[in-house]
Amino acid sequence: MVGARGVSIIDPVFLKNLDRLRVRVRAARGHRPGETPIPRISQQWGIEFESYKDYGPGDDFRYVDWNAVGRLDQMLVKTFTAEREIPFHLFLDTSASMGAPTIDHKFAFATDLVAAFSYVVLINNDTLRVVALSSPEKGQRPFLALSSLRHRSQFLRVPPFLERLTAAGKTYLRETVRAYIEQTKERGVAVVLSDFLTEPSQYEEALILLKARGYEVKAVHILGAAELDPTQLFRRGKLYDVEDQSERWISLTQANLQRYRDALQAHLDAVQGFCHRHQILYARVSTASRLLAVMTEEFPRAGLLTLR
Amino acid sequence: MGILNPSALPFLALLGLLVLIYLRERWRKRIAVPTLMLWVQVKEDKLRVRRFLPSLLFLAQALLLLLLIGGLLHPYRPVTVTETRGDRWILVMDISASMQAREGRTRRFEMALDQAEQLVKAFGPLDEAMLISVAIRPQLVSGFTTDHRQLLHLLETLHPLDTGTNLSLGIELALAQRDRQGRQARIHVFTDLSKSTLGLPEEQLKDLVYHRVGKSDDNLAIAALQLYQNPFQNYSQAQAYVLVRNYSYRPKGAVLTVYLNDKAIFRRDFSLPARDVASFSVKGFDGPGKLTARLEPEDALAVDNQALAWLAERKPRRLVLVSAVKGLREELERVSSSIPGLSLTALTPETFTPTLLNEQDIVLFHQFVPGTAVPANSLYVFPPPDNPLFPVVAEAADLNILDWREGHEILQNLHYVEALPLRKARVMALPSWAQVLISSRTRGGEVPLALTGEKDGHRVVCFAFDLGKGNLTNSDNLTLLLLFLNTLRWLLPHDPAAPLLVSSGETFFLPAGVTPDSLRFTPPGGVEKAVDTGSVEVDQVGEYRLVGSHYHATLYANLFDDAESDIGRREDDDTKPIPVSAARPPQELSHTVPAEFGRWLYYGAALLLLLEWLYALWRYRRASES
Repeated sequence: MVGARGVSIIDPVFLKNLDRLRVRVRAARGHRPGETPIPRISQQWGIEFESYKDYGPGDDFRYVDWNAVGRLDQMLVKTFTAEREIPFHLFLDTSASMGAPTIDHKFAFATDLVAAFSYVVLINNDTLRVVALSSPEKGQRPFLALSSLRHRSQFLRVPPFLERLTAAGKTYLRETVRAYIEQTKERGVAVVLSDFLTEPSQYEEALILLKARGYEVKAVHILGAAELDPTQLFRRGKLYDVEDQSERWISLTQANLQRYRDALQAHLDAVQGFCHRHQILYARVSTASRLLAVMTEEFPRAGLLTLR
Repeated sequence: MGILNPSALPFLALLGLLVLIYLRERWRKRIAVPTLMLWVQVKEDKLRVRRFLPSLLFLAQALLLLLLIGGLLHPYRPVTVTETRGDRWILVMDISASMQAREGRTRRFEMALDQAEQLVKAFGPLDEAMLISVAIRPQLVSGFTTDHRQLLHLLETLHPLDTGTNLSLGIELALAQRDRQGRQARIHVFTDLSKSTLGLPEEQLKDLVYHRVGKSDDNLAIAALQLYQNPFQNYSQAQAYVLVRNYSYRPKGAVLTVYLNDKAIFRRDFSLPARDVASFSVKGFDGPGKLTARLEPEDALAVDNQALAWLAERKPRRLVLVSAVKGLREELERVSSSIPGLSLTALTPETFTPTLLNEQDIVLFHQFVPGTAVPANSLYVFPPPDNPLFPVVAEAADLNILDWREGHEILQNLHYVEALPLRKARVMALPSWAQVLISSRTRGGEVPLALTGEKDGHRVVCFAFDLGKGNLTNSDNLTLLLLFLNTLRWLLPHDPAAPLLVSSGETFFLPAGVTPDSLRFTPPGGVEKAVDTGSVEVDQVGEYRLVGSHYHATLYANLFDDAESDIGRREDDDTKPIPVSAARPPQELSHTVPAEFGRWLYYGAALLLLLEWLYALWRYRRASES
């Protein structure tokens, strides 16, 4: 798969850079043992030793540390940091707004991010579902989801799935997220990749819904370079909304440019502020950035990824 | 600054077209944005078309278009150029017969030539001169040239001709050449004529530098040699008149000798008072041949002391009548029997074939026009309707003769043309080869009653009216008889053995069908030359011979020109020699010329295209790298 900037997502060099990363998880956990350490939770088996505790009723007799009994004459049992398999749900917004303006290649950038994220998840032996949130218009399905993936060898199923997706239709984050979580029992980490260019009620309710259902929610806000600086796109002309087809004649004078920037900043602040209020991790990336830099620098800085 | 090609101005409308294309593109093109939510706060344009602000690409394209149209307009800026030039001169040299007049030991022509050569030698090195010679017509001998040696050589090659002069035409030619290319030229005229004889306006004459030569009036000339012999007369009945005029202002004596075939048959010693004229009659010739009149002794102008004529031998002629009317035949028999040497052959239209004719016949077609060409001169009388030669459009009756061609040979000695008896006539459309001889007029326009012309190398006469029964021999209709006889005389073919009489200065055109190939001519006392065109310039008096494989002819050229023979000149301002002034130094002249710079606009357009391409390439590479 070739990404938006001509970077091959399955390029070994690129993937090697991702090998040392993992997604930072605060509270979410799965039921199956895995490789993701769960802070503040211990167990009697594992790899990372945590401490000793007195042997109590119900403890497995096999886990008594006999060396400690010999030295201290006290029945002690070792505890280890719990490591669990984390179920990840990568939600990709596929509304038409993700495909505009075309010079930004925003949707391609988003699919590249999803692919890179999938790789990071799978090399940490966590489970993954990639969910494309589409528009439930004209009887279409509200989302397209790839069946649960568990091993890095299954990563190669991700790029073909992403390549089939196109950016079209209106944004229905709320409806599509609801439809998904009603069909899925396993909670975990929900990473929502979107431009959030919709009514605040749409993304707020979608994120709240995920939060309320016990997901650890992380929002990745994708912005096009021409959205940040519309002078790259036009000076004057007829703008049309790719989702509702409405039009507006605009001349990009200094005053109008300032008004736009103010409106954009207000929108960004609103999304970010909402996430902070609801303990949702928020990360903002621009399509002007390089994918590797986003994965290895920007996301770790934002607390979304961390070194293994 | 100006433009040389204003016809390219309409291309400027393409700029308007370019603006329209941009406006249309702007109107049609939509810019996709993810949402208009962020643009709600931004003021929307209300005046969408008027707020057309050109983009950089538009400006580049408009500039490119302007450069190309500018190149097409051929713009120029005036540039002042300084040039070093000499003076310009036009020399007009009279080479007519009177320039041969002797003045002491030299001739007028040599005097004029000497003055012209002095003038040329005094030219500055950058002076340009043009040479025009004038006899009966002007000739441009040399265009403006700075090669003064060549000009002197051309002057030396000139010689006076035995013709009259048309000096005013030569001067008009020089005046026309004078102001060409915006440069003035001084005109010098070398002649023996006085300014007053030119008949040119005073304002033109005052610009001329007039070198007049000669003053001798010592000339006695044969002013005319007239031979009276009609085609039906034999030489013994002919009579010659020699008119001798004394152009001198004092009495002069001379001897007139008339030769027949170089044998003197008449000699008269005579004396004439100043400016007087005498006529000598010569008759009783004993044979045909060349008649030469000569005056002796020689005077200042020799060219008019001799004249030639041809005494012809009568040859039998045949009039072929093609008519179905018996009465006309009888009348013509009576007419022909009274004319010596004329016989009549009568045919009916049914028995007529062109093979019965020969070149020396005259054919009279009465109320009949044959379908094929006739190999002889012919007279058509009252042609029938629907004939192939004369388109008859109507018939008319009781017409009055209103107009006729005065001076035509057919109407010679006819004093009462309007008295011709006309009862009925055909109204004919005039064929392209014919001219009207006699005409009437109706409401519909001119009605030709008699036509003359030449068709297929033969003379043709047509009478639109009938001769009428008994009209020809009726003493009441003498005008008709004279018209008929004159017509026969005009239609008589020329005897190919007899020389043609021409005036010196005329152009002799070869007859139709005679090509100049292998034809050679010998001028009087000159060297045989090839004829390279269809004509021969007769510019000497005497006998010319044209000899070819299928054609030969003899021309007798005479000069009977009062203006040339009257060589006496009064002393006036014109005769004072004009001193040759020293050459003026070359002048530095500044004038403005248009310096066109359209090609720089094309170069600019090409450069702009190159810059655009480089810019586009740079942007593409930058985009690829990022």
